[in-house]
Amino acid sequence: MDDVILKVSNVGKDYVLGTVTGETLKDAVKRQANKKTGKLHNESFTALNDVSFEVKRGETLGIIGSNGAGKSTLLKLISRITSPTRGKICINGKVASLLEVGTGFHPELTGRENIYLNGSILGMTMKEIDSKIDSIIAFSECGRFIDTPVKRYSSGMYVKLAFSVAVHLDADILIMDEVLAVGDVKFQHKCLKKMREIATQENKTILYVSHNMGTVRRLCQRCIILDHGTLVFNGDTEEACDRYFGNESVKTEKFVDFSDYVRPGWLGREDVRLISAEYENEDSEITGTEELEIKLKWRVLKDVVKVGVRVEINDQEERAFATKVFYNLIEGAPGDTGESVIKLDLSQVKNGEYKTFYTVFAMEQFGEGADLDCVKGLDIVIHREEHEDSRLNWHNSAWGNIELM
Amino acid sequence: MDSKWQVEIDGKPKLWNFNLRELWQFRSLIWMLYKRNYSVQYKQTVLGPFWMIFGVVFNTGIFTLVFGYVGNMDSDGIPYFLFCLSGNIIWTLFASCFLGNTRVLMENAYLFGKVYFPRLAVPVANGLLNMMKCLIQLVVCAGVWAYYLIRGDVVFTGLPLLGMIPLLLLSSFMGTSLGMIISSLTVKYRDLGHVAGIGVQGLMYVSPVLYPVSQLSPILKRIVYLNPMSAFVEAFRYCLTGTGNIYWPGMVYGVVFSIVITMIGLILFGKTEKNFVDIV
Repeated sequence: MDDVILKVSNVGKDYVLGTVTGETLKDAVKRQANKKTGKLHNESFTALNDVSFEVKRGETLGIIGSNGAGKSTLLKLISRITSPTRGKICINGKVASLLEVGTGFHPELTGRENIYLNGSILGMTMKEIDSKIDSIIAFSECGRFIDTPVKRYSSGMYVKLAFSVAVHLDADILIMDEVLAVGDVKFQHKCLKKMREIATQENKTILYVSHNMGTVRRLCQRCIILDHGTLVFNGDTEEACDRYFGNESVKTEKFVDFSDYVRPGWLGREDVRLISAEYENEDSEITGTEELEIKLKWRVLKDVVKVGVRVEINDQEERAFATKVFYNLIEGAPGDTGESVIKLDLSQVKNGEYKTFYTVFAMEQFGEGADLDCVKGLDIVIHREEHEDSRLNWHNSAWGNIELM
Repeated sequence: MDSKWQVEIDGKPKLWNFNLRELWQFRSLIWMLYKRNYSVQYKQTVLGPFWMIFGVVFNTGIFTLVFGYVGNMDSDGIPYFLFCLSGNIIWTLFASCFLGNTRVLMENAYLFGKVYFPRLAVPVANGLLNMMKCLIQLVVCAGVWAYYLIRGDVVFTGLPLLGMIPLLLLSSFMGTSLGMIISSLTVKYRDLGHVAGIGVQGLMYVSPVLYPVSQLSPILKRIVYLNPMSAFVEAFRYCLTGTGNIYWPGMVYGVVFSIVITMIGLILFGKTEKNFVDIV
């Protein structure tokens, strides 16, 4: 109990949409006038909603989520840059936030001066910096240039110097937002090693935000996933990564449920949501010339017309090699649900196990489609008995997965 | 059980958000910011800190030429150059503390948006730099004063010379706090930033920097003393040269004004710094 170093309870944050920024007196007067007539100038946007979690001393916690999920907002709140609209954050210890490397670097100052400046901005005292300066300079690999103004540095050197200051911070909680996405591979590796060292040997807590699952896997013991401002997962890193990649859906060979599926971050719209998919065939494997029948259940969230579904067939490396498009499958008003059975003729696809994606799209002008939903679908297993002596044994890896007719 | 947390962050608005102990913990930062401001200003200049005194001396020279020689302005019996220089120094301290901080939140929004430290460190560092500049200007002033002292144009005032220190401190506090207030308001209403520059320039003419109060009609006198800096300027000159007088009601007004303004400044700044990153 006593080693809980950070406790976030029911935290929420609202932002005002529109231009409250850079408002002139005239706008303010106008807004006051609008208030009387009951017309609201701006609406608010909830960036974070009811997020709660705890972090123990010495833990490394990964925070993952797609763009706009609220990761940066959460870090800003924890590092006290802005305050929460609701809820409370309790911290036991010193926090150092690295939402960006080289915060406060001044181009006119030399490397050494900037170490002192940046270090003190991040909360180090003069004495601490004095005692660590040699090690910082050594780590940064900028020894020869340390008394040159940083405006003459290459961007790589700049970043290396900045990161060196950061890893020498003597804080109980280190907050890092994507900062490792800098420097060359060798330096990144060095930073990662140093960070793991900090966490394990010096018993410090690290909150790490990244889209790079590789580094999250290597650094973090535990992860939380944010989705549209709410916390959707809190637990083991491997499981979190799987969920983030969308492998978590309840899935058998013939049926998949999409209701808990975390949609990919690039998806901008949610007009239609797929609920489930099921194979209508008796057997889950394709063994002959039969067509694959898929029953898709869907729910409409906004008025839509002329919405279709693409079934993209991928190989094991998740490279799409064939796609079947079904036009005008879905139509309806918000709240409508329905199901469609689609048929795939896979006779040209050779034996193998394939992954699929079901993408719902709306037709727009000039033949462009806007994707409304995208889920990982049921696997396709094709296993035909083909041993005619007159035909070649098919080698998928060399010839591809399709034999043209 | 809640009391065991060292830091608690919530959205509840607090009136008094000022934490002196935290500011003291960040004293290294204040020092570094001060050093940065200082060295950045004079990097790649040949004369360096000389530029600190050049402005004031040049200004005073022009004023002496225009008002002292051409306008034949009265200066309470001391050389106009010294008269004007002494007024100028304390006024420049006030004005630069003020103008240096009117945009402090906006200019540092980028920094404030990335890392937390007591935001007050920046205005404090700005104030320190201006006090440093003032100190250097005082050295020049001392030279001029010594020259006239030897020539017998001014008298040695003795103990009142020490009175200059609290006067300078009060002026810089007043300037810095006013600047902080304006900077808190400019986050939302940028118009004020423009007003501030013009206002402080105009205000200088409503203070006895260029002329002695003794020359004014009673009504004008009252107007001039509405400016809380007026009594300070006059008292400062009195401490240095022994001319003019200390107008005590004006002094009390100035001191009370400084204290009130400092309180308001701290409250407003503390309120604004919490969320201003979202609206700047």
